[in-house]
Amino acid sequence: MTTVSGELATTIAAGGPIDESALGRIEWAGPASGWETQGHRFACRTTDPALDAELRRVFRDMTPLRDTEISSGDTEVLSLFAYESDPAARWAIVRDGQHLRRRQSRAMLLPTVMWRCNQGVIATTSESSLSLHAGAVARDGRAIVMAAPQEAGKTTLTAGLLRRGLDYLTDEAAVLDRDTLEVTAYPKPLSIDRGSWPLFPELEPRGPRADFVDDQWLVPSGTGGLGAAVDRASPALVLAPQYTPGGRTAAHRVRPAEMVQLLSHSTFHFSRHTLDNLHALARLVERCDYYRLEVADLESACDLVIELLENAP
Amino acid sequence: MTETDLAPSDVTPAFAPRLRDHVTFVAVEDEAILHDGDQGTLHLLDPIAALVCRLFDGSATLAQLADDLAAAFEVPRDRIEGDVVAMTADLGAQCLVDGIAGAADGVTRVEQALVDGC
Repeated sequence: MTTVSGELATTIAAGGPIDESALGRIEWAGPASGWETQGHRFACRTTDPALDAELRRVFRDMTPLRDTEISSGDTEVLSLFAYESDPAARWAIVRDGQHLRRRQSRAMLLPTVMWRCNQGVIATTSESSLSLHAGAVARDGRAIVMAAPQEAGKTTLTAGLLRRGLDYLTDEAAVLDRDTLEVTAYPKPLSIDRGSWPLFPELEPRGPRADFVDDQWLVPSGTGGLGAAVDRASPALVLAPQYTPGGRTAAHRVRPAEMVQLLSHSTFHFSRHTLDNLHALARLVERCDYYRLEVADLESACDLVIELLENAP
Repeated sequence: MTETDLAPSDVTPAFAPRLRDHVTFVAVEDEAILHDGDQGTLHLLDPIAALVCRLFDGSATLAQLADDLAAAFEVPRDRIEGDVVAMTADLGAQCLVDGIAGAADGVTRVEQALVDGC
């Protein structure tokens, strides 16, 4: 694996502007790999063959880009490489000649790429669609949308339902057409937080892949018996889950206007298209069953959610 | 708001309400949400309030609305008129009704941008 040295390493360490031609002289592990999802295009090139392989693995549910698409200018290209620096934090991520991150550990590379991808997808989808901070799964073309803020247990519940054989749409941004309300997939790898690792021992990255774990496992759908990704589904059930350890798993009916209000708080960039988003949320609530969901433990919550879906219109 | 706007406490059955131009009524099943475009706030209406608000057209007075509602729901007219006047004054106090002076203190701000929610 190449470590960048000399003038470029000095420039990076100093935080100076980076000449694209200097990046071109780096010995990359291979050609850049790129993907498209929800209208967002991104690509990565790296000096690390193991990272290159891991990137291809975790983003395998997204549409691969051709070389011409990667170089078209519409694609955000991230360059990830080691440079001469503190051995524990010697990685840089450069985007369009600008420092995105430097003095990074190797374990932080994948999470940073994932973060950038989420940012790009949210920026793209919140303009043209109703984009909810939500996990989403489906069965027989009928989607469950689980909208909640961070740390509410969206990904854990999503992973639990995938383990029960449901299909995968997203664990981060549920993208709904404002007219048809159809949910289209943002099939990123699931980001499973450290606190949920004991619930999914079968998903633990092992071997060289463990080197790229920081506080989350990035797990593509279909791994370890999880359900696979599907392209789209029609919403049937909308939930606002909240992890309540020590409590009791239960679904609570809420008033329709209150549910719209709850969902407005989970809508990315809600106020940029307030009325379009409000009308779409109102129609979503009219079409679907909806509940506030208290999640005491994963298995009882999965049982309840599947039952709710079976009873939904 | 103008100098001729009523104080909320001065709203009477003769008042003919309509929502301010910057307020949008969004039906949600039998309830509704009022969106105040100036303040960026949402106001939740229960089924009765949603029904009454749906009838605000700037020409029908609250007394006339009370007549219609009392006939439709077979409830005492006097009681319903008092409720409709109180509800209208309350919405007016929140700057949602044309012709009523209010102090904008929104119920539910939804201006947060979830740009870092990942």
